[in-house]
Amino acid sequence: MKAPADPVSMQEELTALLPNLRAFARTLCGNADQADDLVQETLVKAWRSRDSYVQGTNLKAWLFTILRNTFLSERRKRKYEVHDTDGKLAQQLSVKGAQSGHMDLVDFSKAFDTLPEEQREALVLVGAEGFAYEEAAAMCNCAVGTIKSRVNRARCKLAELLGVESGEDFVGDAGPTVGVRTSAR
Amino acid sequence: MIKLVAQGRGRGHSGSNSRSGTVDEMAQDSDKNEDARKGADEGALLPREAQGRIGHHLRHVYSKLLAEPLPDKFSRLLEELAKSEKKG
Repeated sequence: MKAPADPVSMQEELTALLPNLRAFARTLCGNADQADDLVQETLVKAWRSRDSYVQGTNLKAWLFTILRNTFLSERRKRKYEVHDTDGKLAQQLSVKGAQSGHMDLVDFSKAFDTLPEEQREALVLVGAEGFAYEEAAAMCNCAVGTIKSRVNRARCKLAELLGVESGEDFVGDAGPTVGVRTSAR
Repeated sequence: MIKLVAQGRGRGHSGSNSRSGTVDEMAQDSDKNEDARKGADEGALLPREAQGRIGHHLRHVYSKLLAEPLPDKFSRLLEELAKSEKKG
């Protein structure tokens, strides 16, 4: 059933997924250096346990699960800082959003950083990485409904912070976004 | 659809025509809101359009993270892992 993973193709596939691993790590820990440490630990663990990867299944999901578990166990040992979810930032943003009725990408990143960890994670897995709710639930070891609710709460909070609910336009370079988004996939 | 029916029904009662149309339009609007609620996930109140905007910006920010140049340390690490494999 399980063919041992060929080292050469494993190396290639891991290399191809490095940007995603790094971006997901950054989602979990705000600090870029810590995120890179997390990716390196993930690569070592993935390599050592690659025989447990079932060929033909979603390698990215498998790697993300390893990365996530590594993050959680390291954080328990307090190696990783807890993401800063300072309420002050959220307050500033909501004032700004209400006054100007628009937002930019910096605002979006700041607002995103104020979300609870499990909401950031769920939103990125589903909304940015394109995992199905079921896949995200399996990766986060929780019910599908829990993921849906986290994604939903995250969206509502962002909309509230950024004044999106009002239907006002927000300043974003909509044109280039589409191009970047396509190339990122 | 609702509007057309309302106009048909209003014929012959020119006085109440516009008023009944307004009521129906209001009903139609509330239907739209209901649709937006159903369209969102699990008790969501965020309209689909707002969801789309949030998603759009999320992907933009995330794509910038994906596009960041990778330090060599990752490929070096993978190279070392692959080499240790050949020896072992």
